[in-house]
Amino acid sequence: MTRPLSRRGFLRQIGTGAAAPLLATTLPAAGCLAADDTIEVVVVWSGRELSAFRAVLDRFAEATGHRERIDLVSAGDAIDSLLRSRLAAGRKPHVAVLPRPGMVSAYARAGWLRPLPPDIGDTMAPAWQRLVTVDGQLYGVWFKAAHKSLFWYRGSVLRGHRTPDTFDELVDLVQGLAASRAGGNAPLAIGAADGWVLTDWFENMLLATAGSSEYERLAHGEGDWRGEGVRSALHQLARLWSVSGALAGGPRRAMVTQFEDSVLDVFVHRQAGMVFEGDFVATVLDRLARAGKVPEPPGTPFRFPRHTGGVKPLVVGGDAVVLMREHTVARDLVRWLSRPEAAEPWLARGGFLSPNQRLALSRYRSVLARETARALHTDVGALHFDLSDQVGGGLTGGDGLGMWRILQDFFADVTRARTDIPASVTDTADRLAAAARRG
Amino acid sequence: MTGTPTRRDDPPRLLGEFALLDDTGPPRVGRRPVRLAALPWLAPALVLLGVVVGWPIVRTVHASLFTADGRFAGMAHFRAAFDDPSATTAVANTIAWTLLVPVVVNAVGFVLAAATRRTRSGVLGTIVLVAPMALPLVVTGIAFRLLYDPSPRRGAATALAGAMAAVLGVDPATVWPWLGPELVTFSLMSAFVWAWVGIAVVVFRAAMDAIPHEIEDAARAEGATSWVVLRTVRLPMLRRTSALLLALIAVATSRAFDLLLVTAPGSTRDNATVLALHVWQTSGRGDTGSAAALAVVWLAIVALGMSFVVLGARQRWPLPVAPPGPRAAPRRWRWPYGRVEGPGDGVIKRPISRVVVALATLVWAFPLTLLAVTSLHSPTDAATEGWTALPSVESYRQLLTGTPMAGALVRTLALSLLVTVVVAVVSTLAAHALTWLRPTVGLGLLAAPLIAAAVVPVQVVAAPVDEALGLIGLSGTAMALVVVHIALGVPLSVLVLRQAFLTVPADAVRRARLHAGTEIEVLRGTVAPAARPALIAVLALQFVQVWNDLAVALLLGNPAVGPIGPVLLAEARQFTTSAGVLAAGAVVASVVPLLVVVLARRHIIDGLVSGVVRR
Repeated sequence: MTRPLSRRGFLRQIGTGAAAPLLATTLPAAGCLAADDTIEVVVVWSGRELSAFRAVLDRFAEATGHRERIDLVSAGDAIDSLLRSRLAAGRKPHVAVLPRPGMVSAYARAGWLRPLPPDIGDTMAPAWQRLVTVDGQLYGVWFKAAHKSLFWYRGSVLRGHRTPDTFDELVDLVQGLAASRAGGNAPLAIGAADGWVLTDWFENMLLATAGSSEYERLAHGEGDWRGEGVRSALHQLARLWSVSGALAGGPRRAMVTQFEDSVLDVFVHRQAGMVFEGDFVATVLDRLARAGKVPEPPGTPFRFPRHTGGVKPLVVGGDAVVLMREHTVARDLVRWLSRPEAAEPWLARGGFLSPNQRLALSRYRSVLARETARALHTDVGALHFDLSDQVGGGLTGGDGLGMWRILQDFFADVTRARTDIPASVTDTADRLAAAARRG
Repeated sequence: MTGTPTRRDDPPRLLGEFALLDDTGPPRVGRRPVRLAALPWLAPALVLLGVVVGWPIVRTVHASLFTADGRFAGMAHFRAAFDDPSATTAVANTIAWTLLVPVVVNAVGFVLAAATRRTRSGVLGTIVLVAPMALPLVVTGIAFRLLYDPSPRRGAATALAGAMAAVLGVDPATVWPWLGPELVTFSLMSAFVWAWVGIAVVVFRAAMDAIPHEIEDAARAEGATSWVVLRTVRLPMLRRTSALLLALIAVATSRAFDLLLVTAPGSTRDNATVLALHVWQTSGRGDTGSAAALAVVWLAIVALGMSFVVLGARQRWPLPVAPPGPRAAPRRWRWPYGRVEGPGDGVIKRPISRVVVALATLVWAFPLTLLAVTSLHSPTDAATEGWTALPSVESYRQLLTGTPMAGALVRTLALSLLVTVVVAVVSTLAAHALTWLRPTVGLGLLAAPLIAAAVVPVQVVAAPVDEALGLIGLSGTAMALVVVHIALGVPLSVLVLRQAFLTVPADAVRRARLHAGTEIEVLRGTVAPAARPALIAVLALQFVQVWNDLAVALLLGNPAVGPIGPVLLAEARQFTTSAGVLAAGAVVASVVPLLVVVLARRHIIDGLVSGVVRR
């Protein structure tokens, strides 16, 4: 090494130098400095998603002829702390895939991201671009999207019923199904053990009742959590959740049921008729169907209904690619991921929804996926990014934390006690406001 | 008395933990009047403990009292910490864990130790009871998450509760789920008791074997009933053992952290939260002051608990004298209904003991069976069918191809081996210096930090340690894990090894010094070989400790360097649909520590029970 070492760099060399030879063979990425011909990519994905993304990277190498090695690191939920500790240690990866726009803007403001040329953003709708633009400068490319405003159901359950267009119709439908309990089935399965399921419910309801401007104000920390918008959304949710007999196995079980279990309850165990969640329900179903566990294919999912007079909410999530360390190949990779053909290997495997406006709907393999993607294309003016992924401080969600925890308590309150819904609404709005104030 | 003891006999001691507190003194004769010469021997251990335990504690106490820019904050951080209602829950739950769980483990362990001593089926029973000790707590968590699954199709305990509700005519929807807000702490505690009863059984059995049967026989000859014998002889003689056992388990309850993360569903995690988790979560959201305040509260609870135990460990009875001859007398067949006469261990066989042992064996074997059976189902079958599915190795295939498990196994093996070797070297040097060289600092002064370092939970020191590691660019690297594991492993190893080194006859050491030139040759040629069994125990325990770790890797590592603990935890995010792969992962993760514990079992038990391993 010829260039002079900083003090920190020097200490680092001593620190890793001592045992590096011992560890180098068995503990890769142990702090050994990456060579110049290796690109490091840190992603949120794991399991199937990770291997699908690996196929995307393989296609990149094939198409561009780059021979550099690409190290793919799966960080999962811990991606924020992983990247922060890497930054502290001076070992930035070249590229990262971040699950929240809040992370993109925070990192960009801290100067950890490299700006991207504006033309890279052209493939995304303005609503998506805005989320990764900081001070007029583009910092990210949305690669994968999630559509979080869908109701999935077994066709036989809704036979003879109209799919609900307004929230009142949905409440009526649930009440009707609960009263008849066709075949001992409950109308709804809710995986309330996962707090994000409840925040997705809340976000759709909030968008439907309070409208997009109030939603965006709350997302940017300017709204009033004790205001009419939030309270009315909570009240409507309570009205639906507290319908007697609405939940598979009762409210106590719903509280300890996870998201994927709720999908099983509807489509495998047939204990419930409908489940609300994103397009990724199809991924779970697909896996089960291939093992012959889904006796009845799902009906075409319907959108979260509108509230009196409003429009149907469209809540999305997504993963954005950012450039953290300058390298020609890394830059090429980010540009490649903004192009429609980059999605091809993942589309072929299924379970992929693209925010890319240039990706033809015909490229989606299944009718279901095509229809879900169509909503992202046509309804692009109405889409809003997941609120809980944007708020910070005391509202930051996590198991037993923040907004997740508050809404889980609200769910337990209104489904189990079912006595004083207005009091629960007030209490929950107060707690949300208090959490929002905390940092 | 049947014989005169030929050398100083020790009461049963747990990992030699309190050996230094009531040190009756090593043979003074062999000590060389060296002062500063001891320092180089102690230096590696002192530096590690200073950086990874000492300084972080100072830093934490400081952070709890001062603001980030150095102004005195008074009680502000403490008030802010307890503004969050979860903090109160965490403190209450932590106290419940530290008080309740050790008592239950002790009581169950005592009964099962007495029962297994009295039956021929004791061997099988003991193996089944002791096996959970070797498993990573993450694996225990997975097994009990399966057992308590909210769906009666998969969760055997839920099916049982449902059946009972049906018999009683109660609506099953009103029954509290095992992992629901009301019962979740109880369910987690049951998993912990399952994992730790083995240690209590082993320790109590050894302690009971050490009670001179003459005392009991004398009491019985006076016409005392079994109950009176138990109350007036047995319990008082076991008082010290059980106090130490209580302390050991109370300290271990900080590992409820692992169980909480794996087993408690997100919705009830806050109901079950303990300080270990709450401190981590608080510092994770950048609230350093509150996190430090909570850590200080926790340290205070730990310190208070330890001082009670130290007081309670004083035994009023004269210490029992171990019988001469081989430690474990071969057990002969005995007339099942009579009193045992002659030299032996006072064993009486009773049918009720057989029933107890048989029942316990079944209950203890069940979670392991559940794990093994689930791992042999395909992932979709494990998610949907429960018990009835056909066997398949698909879950194992997906584990090794679709998850980072294969790489993590290699990394964990490398990490555990490296840490084990370094810990053994560092603590051998330190233990030798503490035993045979007279260190400048008094023994008492060293004993307190060593014991403190052995009981400080990693969650308390994690944030400052990470800060320190960041300064040298090691934060989140595999090297960070190596350093922290070594520092956390050294204190107990030193205590155990010193206890073993004390048994080396002083004359032998003196003779060795006359022949050998340097002190290191004395250690290599005389002291270490004599203490080989204790060294093996230290190596085995240290290896298993690192292999089974979750907290250190989660708090101080990152996914890229992840050993098996965090990998399994990440897979458990959607538990049901991953149950097959998780069970397979749990089985794979358990094989190595089980093997190590089985191979080194004699040494481990001796090391655990007395710290004095006789050959």
